[in-house]
Amino acid sequence: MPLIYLDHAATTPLDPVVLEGMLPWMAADSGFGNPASASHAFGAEAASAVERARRQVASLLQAPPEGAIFTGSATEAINLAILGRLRFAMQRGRGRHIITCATEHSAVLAACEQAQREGAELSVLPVDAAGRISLAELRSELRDDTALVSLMLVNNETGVLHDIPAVATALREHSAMLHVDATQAIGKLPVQVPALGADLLSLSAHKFHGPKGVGVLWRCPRPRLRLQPLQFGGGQEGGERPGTQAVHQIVGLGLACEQAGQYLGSEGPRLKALRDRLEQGLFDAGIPVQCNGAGPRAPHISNLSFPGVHGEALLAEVGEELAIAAGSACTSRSGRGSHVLRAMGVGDAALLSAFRFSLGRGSREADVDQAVSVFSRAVRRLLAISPEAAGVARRA
Amino acid sequence: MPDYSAAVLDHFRRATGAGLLDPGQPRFGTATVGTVKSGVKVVFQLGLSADGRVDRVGWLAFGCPSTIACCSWFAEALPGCDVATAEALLHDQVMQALAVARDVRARVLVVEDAALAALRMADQESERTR
Repeated sequence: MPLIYLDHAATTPLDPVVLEGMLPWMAADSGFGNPASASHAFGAEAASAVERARRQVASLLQAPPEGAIFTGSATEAINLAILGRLRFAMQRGRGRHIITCATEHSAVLAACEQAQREGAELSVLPVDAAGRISLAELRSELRDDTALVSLMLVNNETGVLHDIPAVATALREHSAMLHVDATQAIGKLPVQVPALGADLLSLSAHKFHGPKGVGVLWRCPRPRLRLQPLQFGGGQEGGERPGTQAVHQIVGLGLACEQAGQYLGSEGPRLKALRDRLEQGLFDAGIPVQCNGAGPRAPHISNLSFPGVHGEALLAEVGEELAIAAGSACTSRSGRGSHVLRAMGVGDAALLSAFRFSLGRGSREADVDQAVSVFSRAVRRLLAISPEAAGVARRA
Repeated sequence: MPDYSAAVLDHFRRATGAGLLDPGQPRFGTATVGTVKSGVKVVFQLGLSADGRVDRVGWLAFGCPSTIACCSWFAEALPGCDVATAEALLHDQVMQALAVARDVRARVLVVEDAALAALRMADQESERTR
């Protein structure tokens, strides 16, 4: 039986339309030009392709195209947003304080910690049991020298949404910039810069059926939000991300944005229906299931724990039939568990048995039903040999 | 998925001896070692025959496949052993027999501790009934 892929939050398969569009830009006889070589047709053609992709990104985000800076990944985009903005602000005496949240992706947390090592001051907002921040706490952390607030739109482990428009409203009278990590949201939810109120926004192509190795930092171009580049040596991307642009990947990113826009209206509701079917199927199976994260969630991610069984054992049981992400504790063997779930106050038994199910364009009802069947069988077998089974409250 | 040896996967799937013993029988020992928080919790039980040999083994385990496989291996290896042989077997043979990965050996030690404590309790019970 083929492996069922339920790890779309990690990466997605390349859309065939995207692949077809990328191939000419990797050919030996044409399409190989350097976009910076404006003196001949090869270069001009490549530059034109890069600018077309920039417009495709901007169209999806409903934002000015000149705000899009192509990077090598969302991680790079996030680093450029956080370190680029903080370094600029600190140099110009425009603040040295960052606010982020305990459940952010490690790219955000690590970049903030790096900024802290360079002299910035960091406030990390806690979340409640649902995984959400308090706007009141955000307001209370704001200081005159707060230069940046960095929050994700969709949590990559739980799918929980932050109310970014409300955050933007809270910042309206403040000089702090708002960076939104939208990596998990593109293609699943409308991500429109004006509606979000973001000053900076990061994304990565491979999370929505584009190629790996390319991302975008969109930053407000009017008035131009200034960043200090992280690398030096060329004038590409306005000098803020120098280095020869990877034309084929950028073309792929642009096409993936175009495809995401076309699928958006139908894909969000379809994924939500599949996610609800998965969760209901497991609740109805009579096994202990705990849903981690509540309130508004992205349609494609469900974080579920199976208290009483160990996640690593459960992964070994289901791993030949399902490609799925276990909680980080289970695979890292660190024993510390997911920082996201810990921040939400998830208990030890649930922490060690957490799985992220993430659905995508290729997911079908039959896949979800099979996942329910495989998990139910595996959890029952492991509960039968677990000393924790007797104490587990079975919730439906 | 982490790499497990074929022996670990085999025992993990078979889970020989899983389940609890009847505590009412003579020369019975039981021990619970570990916590959910630490990622390993094992209940190990065994009984000795009148001539001092392990004649029944039961266990429950919350843990990784190596933990479960270790319990299963003990459940196959211990029956028939006298106390001295069982103690020696519990001390150092399972790691090699199952080719347990180095980074999870601490978890196997929890199973060893539980089995050893159950063995000693059964042996003491045996002494009392003699």
